[in-house]
Amino acid sequence: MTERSVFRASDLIRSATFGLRSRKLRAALSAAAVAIGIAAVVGVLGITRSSESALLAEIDRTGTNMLVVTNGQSLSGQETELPATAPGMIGRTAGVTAVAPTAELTGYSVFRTDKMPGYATNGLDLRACGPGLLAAVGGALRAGAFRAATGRYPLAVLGYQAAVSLGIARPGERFWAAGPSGGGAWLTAAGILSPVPLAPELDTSVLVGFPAAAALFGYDGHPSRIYVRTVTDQTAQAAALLAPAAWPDHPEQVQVSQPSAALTARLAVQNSSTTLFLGLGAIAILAGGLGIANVMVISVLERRGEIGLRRALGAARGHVGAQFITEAVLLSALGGASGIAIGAAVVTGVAKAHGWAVLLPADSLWGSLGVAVAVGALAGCYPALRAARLAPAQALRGTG
Amino acid sequence: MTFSAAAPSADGSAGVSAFFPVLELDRVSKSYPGTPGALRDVSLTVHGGELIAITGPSGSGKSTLVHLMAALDRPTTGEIRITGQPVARLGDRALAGLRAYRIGMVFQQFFLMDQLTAIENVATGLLYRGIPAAARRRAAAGLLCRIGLAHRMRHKAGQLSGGERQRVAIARAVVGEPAIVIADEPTGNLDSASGATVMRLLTQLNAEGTTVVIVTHDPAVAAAAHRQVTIRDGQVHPGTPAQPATAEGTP
Repeated sequence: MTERSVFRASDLIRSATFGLRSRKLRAALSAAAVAIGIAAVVGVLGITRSSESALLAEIDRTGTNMLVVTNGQSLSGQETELPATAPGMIGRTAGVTAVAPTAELTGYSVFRTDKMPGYATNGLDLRACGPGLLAAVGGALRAGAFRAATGRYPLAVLGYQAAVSLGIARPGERFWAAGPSGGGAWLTAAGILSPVPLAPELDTSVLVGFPAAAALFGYDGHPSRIYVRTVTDQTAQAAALLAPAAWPDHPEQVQVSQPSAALTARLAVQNSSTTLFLGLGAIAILAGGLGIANVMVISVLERRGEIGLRRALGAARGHVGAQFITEAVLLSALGGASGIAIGAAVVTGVAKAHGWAVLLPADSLWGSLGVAVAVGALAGCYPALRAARLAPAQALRGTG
Repeated sequence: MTFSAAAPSADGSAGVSAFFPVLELDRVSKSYPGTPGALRDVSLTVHGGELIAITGPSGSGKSTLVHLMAALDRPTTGEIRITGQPVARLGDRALAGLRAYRIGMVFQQFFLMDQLTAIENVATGLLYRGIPAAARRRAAAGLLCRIGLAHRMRHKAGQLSGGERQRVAIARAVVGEPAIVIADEPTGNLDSASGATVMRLLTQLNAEGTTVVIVTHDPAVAAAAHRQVTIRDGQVHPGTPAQPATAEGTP
């Protein structure tokens, strides 16, 4: 004798979408605010992740196991000498896999011709190096050869920026290395490097081999900057050992740095600005939720007749409430889905423009949809409660 | 006072047959503070197969009586039993179940969903019974054919004439074969010709076994009923004896 009123889930969805379909413009407008918020969040996350991916790929490629040993007592930006024994000692330190010493030839400048006055400078350094440098810093050649330039001939490899400054586009061109006392030597470009992210000082350097440096510029065998590669998970331990190894008498004068730390710091900076934008997106979503709540409250007032009819047809209070909450959730989810689509389109456009890989973190997409649904459910609570509490007799009379 | 010979179908009306009380009001009072239309001490019994008219001027408490009879509201005092079930003791879900299975309602202002077709509107009469949509549509289509609206079945409710709209609304009320149909001023928004077709449909359905209560202020409509009850100032008018409920001895 006790039949209970039943509202099938499929009928609930149908009734809720019917409510939305019969007020299309209003539904679209109230979903728009949520869409904007979600689009902002997806866009910010996607753009950050895509640009990070470029940075992460760079870190991956260059590795985090490189250390640089310099003399910490440098004067006016010029590198100063380390003991000549340093490279050998470092090479025997535990965890070290490669050592590439270089020496800045202080006082030398590099010009296109020998007609430049002696006091002129252009920010380019002349640097002596060994054949292992390119591998140790993870550098690549844009053109020409590297190893051939590290012998005793007057050949040089140009850093990327140095080649641009000198106007040298291909190997084979000659340029002038001016000495501090008016002398100098003609060098021939043998190769040009790509930018080296972990050793940006090489970009503005002209590299010559140790034998040539000794012959042409009086290089004395003291390195000033030593690039060291270590076993990746022993980098920290090796870093602690490098100073005493490089200069046993004055380890306090030796500075050991890890260039990849700068790249990881850039990631951290990006992440902190992302948080700000995500906060703004969250505020937009909140405003969207309030909009939906507002529209639903109006909807309950307008649809008193429908509510009364549904109660007369056998709807329980909960059924009416469920219908309105479902409408709010659908509305918000609709906004969320279009927001994801807009955000994804923006990310794709921006990433393509910068040449990044398009990365849309899946968890952020599902997360946004989840947030939209939760916002809809919250926004629908109060209107649904009002609809459910409406006395059927009063609802039917309200429009009569 | 003539009762229809045809017994209501067992299905839907759940064992209620002619001459047994379908709806019983026992000394029922209902008041809304600050508004007219209160009921005082109303006793009324509707038997299976009856076609009864409740008449009275506006403000007499007709609407209040309709809402109480349709289990849309509970009385302040007194007892209401629908097919023997005391309304006061039912929770919201069970009361809703009573409306979904035992009661069909027809309103003066139709309350059709204009964007839906006639067949879809009739099918909503079964919406809260957990019946699959396809089965609801089949039942609705069959009923619309039976009452001569087959040609208007796929029209939107908004495109129908007033008389057709009310006939669709009546079909929605009876599609689930409820124990009782309560029609609140069913001809109130119609011209006399359309009103006549609507009344013909209600009497036809009654002749086929449906118990019908018509609430109206129109004496011509009330004349079609087997029995008339007049209500004035919230009380059943002394001139027309309403049968008191027999609380004991009803199934």
